[in-house]
Amino acid sequence: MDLSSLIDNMSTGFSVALSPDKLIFGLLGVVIGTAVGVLPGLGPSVAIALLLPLTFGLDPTSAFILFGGIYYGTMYGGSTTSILINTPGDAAASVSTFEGYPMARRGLGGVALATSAIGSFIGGTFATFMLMLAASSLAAVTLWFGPPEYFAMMLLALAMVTGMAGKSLPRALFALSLGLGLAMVGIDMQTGANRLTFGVQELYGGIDVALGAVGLFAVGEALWLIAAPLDSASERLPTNRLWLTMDEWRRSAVPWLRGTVVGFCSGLLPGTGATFATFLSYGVERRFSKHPEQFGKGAIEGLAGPEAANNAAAGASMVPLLALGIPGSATTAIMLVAFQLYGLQPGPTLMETNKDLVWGLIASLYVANVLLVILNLPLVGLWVQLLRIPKGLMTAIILVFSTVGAYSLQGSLGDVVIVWLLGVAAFLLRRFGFPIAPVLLGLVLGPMLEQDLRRSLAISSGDFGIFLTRPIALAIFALIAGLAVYRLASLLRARRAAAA
Amino acid sequence: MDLTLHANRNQPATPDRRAVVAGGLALAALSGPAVAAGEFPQRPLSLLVPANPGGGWDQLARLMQQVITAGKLSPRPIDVFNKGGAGGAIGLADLVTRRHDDPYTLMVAGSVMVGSTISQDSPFKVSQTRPLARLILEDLVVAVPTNSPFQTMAALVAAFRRDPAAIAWSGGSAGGVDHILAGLIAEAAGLGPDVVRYVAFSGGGEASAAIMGGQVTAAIAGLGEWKPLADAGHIRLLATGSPQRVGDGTVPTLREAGLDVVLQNWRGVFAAPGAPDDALRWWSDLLDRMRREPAWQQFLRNKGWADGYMPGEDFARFIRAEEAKTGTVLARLGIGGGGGGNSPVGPWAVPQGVGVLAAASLAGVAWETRRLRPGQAVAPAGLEDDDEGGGPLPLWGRFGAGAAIVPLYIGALNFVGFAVATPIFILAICLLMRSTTLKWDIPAAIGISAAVWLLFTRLLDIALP
Repeated sequence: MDLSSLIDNMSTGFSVALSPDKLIFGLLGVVIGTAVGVLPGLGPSVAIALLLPLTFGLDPTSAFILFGGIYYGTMYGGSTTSILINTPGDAAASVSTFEGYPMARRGLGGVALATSAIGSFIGGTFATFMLMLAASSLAAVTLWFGPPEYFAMMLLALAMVTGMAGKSLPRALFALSLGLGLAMVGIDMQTGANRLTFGVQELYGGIDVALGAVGLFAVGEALWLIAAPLDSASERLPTNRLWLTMDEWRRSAVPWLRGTVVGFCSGLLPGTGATFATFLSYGVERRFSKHPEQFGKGAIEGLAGPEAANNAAAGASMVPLLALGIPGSATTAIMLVAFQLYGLQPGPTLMETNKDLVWGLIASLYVANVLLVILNLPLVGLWVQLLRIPKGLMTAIILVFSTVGAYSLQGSLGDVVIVWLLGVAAFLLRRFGFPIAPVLLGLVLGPMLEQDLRRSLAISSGDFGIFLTRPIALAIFALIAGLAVYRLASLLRARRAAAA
Repeated sequence: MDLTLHANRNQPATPDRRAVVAGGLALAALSGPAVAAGEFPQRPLSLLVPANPGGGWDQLARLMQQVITAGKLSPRPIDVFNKGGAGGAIGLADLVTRRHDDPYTLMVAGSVMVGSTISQDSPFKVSQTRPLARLILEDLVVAVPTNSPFQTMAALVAAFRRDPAAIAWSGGSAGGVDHILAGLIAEAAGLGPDVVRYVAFSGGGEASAAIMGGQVTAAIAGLGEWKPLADAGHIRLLATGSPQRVGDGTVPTLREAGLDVVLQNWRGVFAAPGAPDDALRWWSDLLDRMRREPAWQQFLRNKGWADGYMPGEDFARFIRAEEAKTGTVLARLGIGGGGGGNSPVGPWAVPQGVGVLAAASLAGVAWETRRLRPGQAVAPAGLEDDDEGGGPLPLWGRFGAGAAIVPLYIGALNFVGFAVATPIFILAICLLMRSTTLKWDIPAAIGISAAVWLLFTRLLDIALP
């Protein structure tokens, strides 16, 4: 697309998105999205599905501006409770608990929230920019990725995140295998076999990642708060300042950009998604950080990267939807249904025939990002007031929200029981020195890792050569090998230095 | 066995209807036949989609909702809710157990559910519902990537006969209509159905991206889903599984390609098994009026779905026949019932690998523990894991109290409801944590409960127990 038609399209888009009535729908969307994001369990796809019937009377442009606002808003809102009370608002926000919550406990809750809002703005804006500029050509690139490439990417993410191991590698590996085991529960997609469900019907569909995140982090933390002796339940967390220092700006800047790129690339691919993107980004930051010893104790890099990554991934998943008409995530799948209910089929034709809608939507995503950052930065001061709630009450709130959040996903108390059991498991693991983050990592990566391995081998009739004959897969494997060699070399060097 | 600790949002809760849990066994909801004839419906109606938002069933349900609402066909509002997982088996179990007598909920499902309940050996079958009407038929299509060497179905089948292992077929989850069609094509081509190399995708974007990118040789999906991709030149449609040519007539049928196979996907609505007849009559009348709406017919044309309306007793017979037929086909294809199909890596290979990893890492942990110096304890780990060992050690007694109070709360939710259970629960936690500000905690507990209640039921429209 040449520049003049792009400018033409975008001016059409902005004239739509900035007209007063559309602006109101955008604002409504970001407010609803932020609220849904803050609530544990509920994610953007559920929110849009709930609102779909209410939009039947609207014109499609207004409806999609509303949905776009909700999608971006949930990505902003999800991390708020991750940071403040260790309760991920949705699955894509779980990684924010790793560094965000320790930051809040050190009195840096306000800083963490501001870092997250700015990172989200950068990630979201970049993704929208790329969506505007090169949707069609980017969508074509995603088609080069098949099961072998996805499998290689999952391994890369695993290799990146082994840094989560902490003090003891066997303990981290055990936690990871527990998570992978949980991921295998349910009906197997490739064969229809019933695995590890022990006849409990609630488990046939597998364990939802959102339930895992809420159970392992929120309920586990609440049980820990109950059991760990305190001076008093009235104790409050300290809060110092709300804004970033020069040093924190410097440390966050590169992770924001790196997270944006990582998030955007994984968001483009229909087989990966925002949660995967945040894990990968966290691993990347940990690997490149100058302060690896601070990770797990509130390293701002480990928050900035994933926060930019999840918004970039959300924006990127709109690329295959608008350019090809294929959904790249649960949220874009429900948006595709909405398009079709309006009698529209997303794809290259729609981008030509219905310029008001498509370009209005893209422009409104820019507007949503600006609205969200304007909305969220002043809210930081308000949110940190939550930390002033006494611990007793706070623990109760965490448990109530986790329960209601898990219930609202499918309207099933069985899901609440799963969340609570995972919380108890998380408490026990933590008591005996096992890290919890690898369990969630296993739960997130497990299904993709397994299915794509088996799909690859089904395509090649069981020949492992398929991983080595495809250039992209081979390149990713080479990268993994390079990382392993590098890590081994640095270990050896450290050992030699210690011996000398 | 059904866990039955679930209560559903959108549960049409009459005062005399409450899920009862007794001895871990499900009892049907107690409810009197309070609905007088002619007065149905007295409350809002629901469509249960036993899949996550975005799929074919979801689309059909949302279309029904849109047409019924826009045409003002129902005196009461109608909503759609999703209860996905396991090819629809979870939603089906909900309909035939907890909603056994509920006249206000219809389930929207289709042929994939018949296949999945059989291949998973599910305790509930589709024929246990009251099948109300078949609404649409969707033709299945066989597609190849645009740059594929196969220009016709005959060429693809010839190559498949020469070397079955060279063709990778793909489609939706194992045991569904796509998988069955692949097996039937193999049979009609004179090959054993067990030679099909089938790659399952979760549907939607992943399957479309795989065929567009040429990751697989050929793929099967609904015509409605892939017609737009074919029109845009991303894929090439080789054949349909319909009895005669459909749509603009450009795509030949499988029969024309010399394969005696006809298989169509269908979708319809199902009522709860104990729903009273007058309610079913009302629903049937509603469906009949709905399918006459121009908006309905228009959408079906856009989507490439055929009007496959088949009401009442005919549909029930059709379902029984489908179950019998699907059962024999699946058995012939070796799908389900624990059989691994024709996958080079069986369903248990990866879990076994994970088990080995778990055992090896536990051995590593044991070795580490033995190397601890006497008197040195295992330090708790945590996200705030610091060098001092993660803060003070927790007390087991208080953990036990905390871990016990939560299931009590969940039970209370089921019996006395959210509004009563939540303030008490919040106060119990505060007491357990020795709060010194109890006089503030009591209003706070009531305030929080009220706020959560308002937020979910009023703003988000999700009913709480």
